[in-house]
Amino acid sequence: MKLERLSDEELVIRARAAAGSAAGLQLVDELFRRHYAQVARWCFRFSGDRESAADLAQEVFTKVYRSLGSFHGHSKFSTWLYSIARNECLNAVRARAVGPGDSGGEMLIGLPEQDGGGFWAAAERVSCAELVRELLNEALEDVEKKVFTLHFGEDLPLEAITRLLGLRNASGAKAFIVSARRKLSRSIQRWKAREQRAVGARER
Amino acid sequence: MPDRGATRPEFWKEALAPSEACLTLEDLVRLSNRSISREAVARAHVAACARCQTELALLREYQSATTLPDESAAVSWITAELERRFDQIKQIKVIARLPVSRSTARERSTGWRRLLLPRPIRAAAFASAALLAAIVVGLNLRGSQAPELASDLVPGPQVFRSEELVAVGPTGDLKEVPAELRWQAIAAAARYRVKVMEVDRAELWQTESIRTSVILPAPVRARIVPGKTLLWQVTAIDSASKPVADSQILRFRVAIGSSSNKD
Repeated sequence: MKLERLSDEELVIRARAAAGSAAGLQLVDELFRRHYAQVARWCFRFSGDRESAADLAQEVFTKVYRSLGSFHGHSKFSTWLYSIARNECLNAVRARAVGPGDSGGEMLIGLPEQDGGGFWAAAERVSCAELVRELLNEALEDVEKKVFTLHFGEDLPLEAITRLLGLRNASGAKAFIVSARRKLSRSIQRWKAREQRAVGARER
Repeated sequence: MPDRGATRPEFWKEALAPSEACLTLEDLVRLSNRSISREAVARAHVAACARCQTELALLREYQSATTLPDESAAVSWITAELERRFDQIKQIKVIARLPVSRSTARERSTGWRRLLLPRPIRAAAFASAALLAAIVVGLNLRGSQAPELASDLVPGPQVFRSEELVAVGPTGDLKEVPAELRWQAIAAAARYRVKVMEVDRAELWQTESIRTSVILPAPVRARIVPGKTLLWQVTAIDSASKPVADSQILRFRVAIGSSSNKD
C-alpha cells in the first residue's frame, strides 16, 4: 500500500510495529514530512528568525519521535503534535524573554491600583478570577483579549504575539495592550460607580 | 486585595489561568470541527472566556495553511532544513539534564567532587554518558554532513556597545567538543554566571566564575553530541549580587563527522 494513502494515525501504528527497522523509519519520515511546513511556520512565528525556528522545530520533532510510543490515538496525531509544538514554543519564547527589566508590569501602569475597599477588595470577595475574566470579556475587543491573555497569561513577549496573530498595524501587539489597558481602566471605574450606587441604595 | 494589585502581572496571570470549566485542547479541536458533544454549552463557555477564545485562535492559526508572503521563504528554508535533519531527529537521544550548580567559583570544585562520588545515581549518570559517547561514535561513523550553523540568535550584524557583555566563543559549527566558554570582561562585573542551554532554553548546566572563561567539566562535555545545537549565555553580576548585563545568546553545534569528546 502506498504510504500517502495511510492516515497519520495508521502511520503511527505501523511505525511503532516496525520500530527500529528501515521500514519503520520510512513511515516516520512520511508522517513527519506531512507536518514539517506547519510546524516550521508555527516555530518561525514564535521565534522570528529562521535559525532559531529550525532548532525549535527540530526539538519538536525529536520530542515527537521519542514519544511516539506513548501516543495512544485518543486524539488525532495532528492535535497531539500541536500540543507538543505549542508547549515547546511557549517555553522557548518565555525563557528567552526572561532577563533584567523584562517584566510586563509597565504595560499595566494606568490601571487603578489598590483603593482601600474598592474594586480589588470586591474582586477578592466575589472570586477574583471570575470577576476579572468577566470584566476582560465585556470590556475588550477580540484581538485585545487575545493579546492581553497571551502577554499576561502566557508571558509571551509582544513581538512574538505580533507575529503569532499576524498583526499588521505599525506598533503590533503593543497598540492592543495600550487600548486594552485604557478600556479596562474605564470598565473598573464604571464597576466601582455601580457598586457605590448599590451600597448607597442599600443604606437608604 | 491586600498584597496584589492591577499593576502586578502576577495578578493577571492568576486571573487568566485556565479554570475547571475551560475546554481541553481536544475539546477545542472538536469544537472547531463541530464534533463536540454538548456544543451549545461549550460555545457558551468559550463566548465568555478570553482564555478559551485565545487558545481556539492559536489552534486555528496553527491549523490554517496560510503562509504570509513575508514568511514563505523562511518556512521553505526551515522545512528543507528539517528534511535534512531527519537523521538527527531520529538518532539524538535524551540529553540528561545535569543538576544545576548554584555554587560560586570557589565552591565549584567541591560541587564537582560531589558529583563524582560513587553513588548509584552517579553510576547511572556515567552509564548514560557512556551510552551517549557510543551514540557519538555511531554518529561519527555515519559521516553525514550537517548544514552550516549560524553563530548566534540575532539575525544580521551584531552591534556591541562599550559596556555590553560580549560572549566570545564557542559559536557556530565546531569540529570538536569545546573545552571552555569565553567572554569579554566588563568593568561593573564582580563575577559572571554562565549557563548552557538546550534550544528550548532548558538549562543543562550553570556555574559562576570571577574570570572571563570557564572550563566545561567532563560530564558536561560528554553531553555535547554531534548534531545537537546548544546555546550558552553569560550574565555579569555586580558586587551587590545584582545582574547588570546579559551577553547575547550564542549557539554552537559539533558537526557530525567531526572528532568527539574523548574524556
